[in-house]
Amino acid sequence: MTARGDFSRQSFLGEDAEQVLAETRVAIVGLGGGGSHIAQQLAHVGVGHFRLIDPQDIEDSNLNRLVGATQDDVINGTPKVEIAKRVIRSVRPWADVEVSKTEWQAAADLLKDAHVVFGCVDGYRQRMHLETAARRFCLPYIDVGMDVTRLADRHYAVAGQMISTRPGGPCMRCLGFLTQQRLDREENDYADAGINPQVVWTNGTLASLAVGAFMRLLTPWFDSSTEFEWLELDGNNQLVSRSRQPDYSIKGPCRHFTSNDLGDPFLDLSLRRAPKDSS
Amino acid sequence: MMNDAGGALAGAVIEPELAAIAAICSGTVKYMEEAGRRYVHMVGLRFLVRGADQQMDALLCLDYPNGTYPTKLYLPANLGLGLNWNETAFILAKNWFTWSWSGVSPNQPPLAILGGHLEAFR
Ligand SMILES: [Zn+2]
Repeated sequence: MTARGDFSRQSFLGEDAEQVLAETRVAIVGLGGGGSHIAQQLAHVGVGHFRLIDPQDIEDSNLNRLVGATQDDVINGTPKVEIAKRVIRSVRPWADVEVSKTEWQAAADLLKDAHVVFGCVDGYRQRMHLETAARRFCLPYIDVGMDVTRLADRHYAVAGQMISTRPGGPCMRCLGFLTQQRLDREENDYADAGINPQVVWTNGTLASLAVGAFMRLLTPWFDSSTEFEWLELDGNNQLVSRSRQPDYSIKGPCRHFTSNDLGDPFLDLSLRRAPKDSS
Repeated sequence: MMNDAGGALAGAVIEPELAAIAAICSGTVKYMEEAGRRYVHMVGLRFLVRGADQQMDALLCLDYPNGTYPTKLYLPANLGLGLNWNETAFILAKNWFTWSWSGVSPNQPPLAILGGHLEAFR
């Protein structure tokens, strides 16, 4: 046991796993159904640094799935990032948690500062932009999302996916997840966006898959080298399987993100003052 | 000396087709690319919003891959105005806002594309 706690039950992750996790900085974008679950699990495994980004306060309709939220939070309109922070600090009081109650695009400094980005956002275009940001700052990106589709009268298909990509490997466009058709449909029909059904058990499964992908990235406890993961959850049959879409979609190295697209293209060194020599 | 966001390319020759845009900007105007998409980045673009002068940076996408929106103009702020501001985008490591303004053809000079989008504010 260390000052941070007793991690003996996960010691199979490696001698230095506790240290690695304690020094890791994760950004979680979206602290709703998916992100709140992910934050809770990452606190338990011992991640030391959190960057939480979400502009919203909790509403009554979030209580069906937002882990850690209470009725009092609904009454008080607590920001979702503050609920997640409370959950994390109640498990690991020593964790460093920075929050931003803004759109993630306005909190790029928190993204840049992370080692891994979790995306729990709505819509294909937001995913596209978030993965673009992750690539620009050279960060692995782990995305979760779920959908409920009406098949026929009183018949619904619950489904979701967890996709993990990393710089240099195929992106979500290469994989065939972010297709131009999906992006266009969302953009051209934006006015028709209805409510987005979400349920806690499906979100929980997807969050667990995301945390699993993260743990494999940081503390690979078995031999598996993959450049990406795309796991599909068939929520009706409660089955998780590897998506076969990438087998058909990947056509060689990623041509969407090149090494020219790294870093801040507007960084102007001439605006940076050299430190004064005090001697 | 450059003192704006285009400083990294200080002294670069402006492409002739961008000179007309540069004339209405206070700073650098240049092509930039991200994820295979081509943009014109403008520092200090001057334009009219409902008859009043405005000045801000802007980003014009010349090859947006959506038939309904083949080009797009991005601004650093949501100007409201009753337009459908429907996207917060993250492009070239910056936060941008854009709105639904369809059908501005990419098959015309950059200044004409820009003018097509600024029509929304007249
Ligand atoms: Zn790609």
